[in-house]
Amino acid sequence: MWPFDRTGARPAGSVPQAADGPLLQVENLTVAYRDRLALRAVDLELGAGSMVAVAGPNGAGKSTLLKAILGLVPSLAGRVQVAGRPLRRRDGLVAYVPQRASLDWDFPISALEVATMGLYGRIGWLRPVRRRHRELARAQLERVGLAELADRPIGELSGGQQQRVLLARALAQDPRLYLLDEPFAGIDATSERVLLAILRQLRDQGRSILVVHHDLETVATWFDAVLLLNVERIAMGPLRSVLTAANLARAYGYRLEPGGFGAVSVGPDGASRPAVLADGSRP
Amino acid sequence: MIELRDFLEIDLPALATSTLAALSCGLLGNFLLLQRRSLLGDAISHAVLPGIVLAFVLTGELAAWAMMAGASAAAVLAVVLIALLERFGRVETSAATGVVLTTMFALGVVLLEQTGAQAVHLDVQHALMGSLETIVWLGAGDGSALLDAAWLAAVPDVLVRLALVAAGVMLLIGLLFKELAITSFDPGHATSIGISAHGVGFVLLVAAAVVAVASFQAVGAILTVALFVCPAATARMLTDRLETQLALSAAAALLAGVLGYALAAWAPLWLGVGRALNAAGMIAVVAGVLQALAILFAPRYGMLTRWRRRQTPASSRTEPAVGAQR
Repeated sequence: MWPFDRTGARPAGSVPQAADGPLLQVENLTVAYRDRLALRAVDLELGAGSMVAVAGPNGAGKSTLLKAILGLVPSLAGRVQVAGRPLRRRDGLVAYVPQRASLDWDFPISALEVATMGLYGRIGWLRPVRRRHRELARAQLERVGLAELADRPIGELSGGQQQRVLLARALAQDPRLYLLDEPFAGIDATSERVLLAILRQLRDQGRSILVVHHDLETVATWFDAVLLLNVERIAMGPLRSVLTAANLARAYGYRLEPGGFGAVSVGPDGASRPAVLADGSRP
Repeated sequence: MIELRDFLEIDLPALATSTLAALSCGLLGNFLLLQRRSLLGDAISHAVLPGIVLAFVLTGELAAWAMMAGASAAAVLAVVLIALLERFGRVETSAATGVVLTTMFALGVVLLEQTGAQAVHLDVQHALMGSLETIVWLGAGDGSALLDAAWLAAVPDVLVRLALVAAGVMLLIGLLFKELAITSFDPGHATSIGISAHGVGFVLLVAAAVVAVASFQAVGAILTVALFVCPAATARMLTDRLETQLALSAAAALLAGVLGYALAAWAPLWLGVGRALNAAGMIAVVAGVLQALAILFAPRYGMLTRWRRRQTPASSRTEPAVGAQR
């Protein structure tokens, strides 16, 4: 049983089990692009077997949160721990699925080759891809319903099929934590159904899933919990307690300007107003 | 008629040199193209000029290794400058690259004219178009010396260097094929599983610098640029597999090298024109023509095929349309 069937990369017992604490623990994570604050002191805890949406307006730092957890963008402050220790990317504990639109789908490569890339970290430097790796990747393509399209160039696939190939790549990696950036954006109904079914299956198997998802309507029906983000963490928890009018107003109605405490918020009409809300919950 | 001795002493070394340069640049060009960094080869091949001139001024002779070191240092400096401009100058990559390559090449030209380096056939014309014609492999005799140890030992340095560089490029791509592929396709994902896109990108960059320097001395800046871009872009039109693309780009590079040299060296003779054409320039022309042909006539992605496909009703297409929603 996983993780003990892995190819020597992780000896049995070297990774604390879920019962020891949260699978993902993020503390005080702060990221800036040039002089603009993208994330401010974000805390986040994710237990095993949870499926959480990250919601918030454009520019709220949702994609940045995923990248900062993986260390793909430098953080000014904060600490990220996976399974109780700092992330070691080689371990393959975390699978990352970036936004589909950020990739070059004209790249000369087949669906199977993309899925196989999920195993490259495990295969190791200077070692060739072997038949068993390709078979493992092919099985993941089958799981997402793309067995027949395995040898197609990725450019010939539809948007939803491309998204499923990326999920197959993550599945091939067999991680404990999945970080997905807008996987449901612009895909067909079939792909949506397949994606959702597999993510729920993974959750039931004890994997943890963090999904950047901008559509608030489907957040309510698809996810167990939601992290409402707008540069800082607005709220996190079960849907009903998070998606309140006050929280949504804080996340969407007011854009937090950088500049620290006592900041002035800019409303949707562009007018500045003091960052004080009816419930007085803002600093 | 072409004399065997002329061929062995003059044509063979030039032909081998330009073909090896084409092969090295063409193969690496695939990854630069896929990462949309083709202009980087351009930048490096121009930016090495001031390094070469300074190396000449400092050592006072045309020592190959000193010039190689100067050129490499200039190439690294160019890359660093581009990165700095991008970050602090708030300009896009292509603009930063364009500024750095023209500025450094201009600096090289000024240095050339001020230092008197041009006295020893190091001048702007050679920098741009190379000096293929000056590469000779003397002592071939009547051809019976083909396996003569003395003749083999007299092999030109440039040829040896480019052979080593070409072998190095093939070895690098062979060893790091999967890392180059994954970091070119999805750098974020690659980094997230421990294959640093920055690290692999740096290796690619250093390789491109070494290749640019080696082929710059032989075939000049313009041809080097053409060889980084054209063979890879030609191959890109013809296939959807990376391995096939690499093989086709190598074929296109070899074809451009051989055909270009043949057209430059021998075609004028056949036509009764007294003097040969510039070989480096002709190779670049052939590389460009090959790319144009591929863009027009490639079996699947060529303009002609696309145009024909539009003329045919969708229902009668032979190609299966499963999931094709581009």
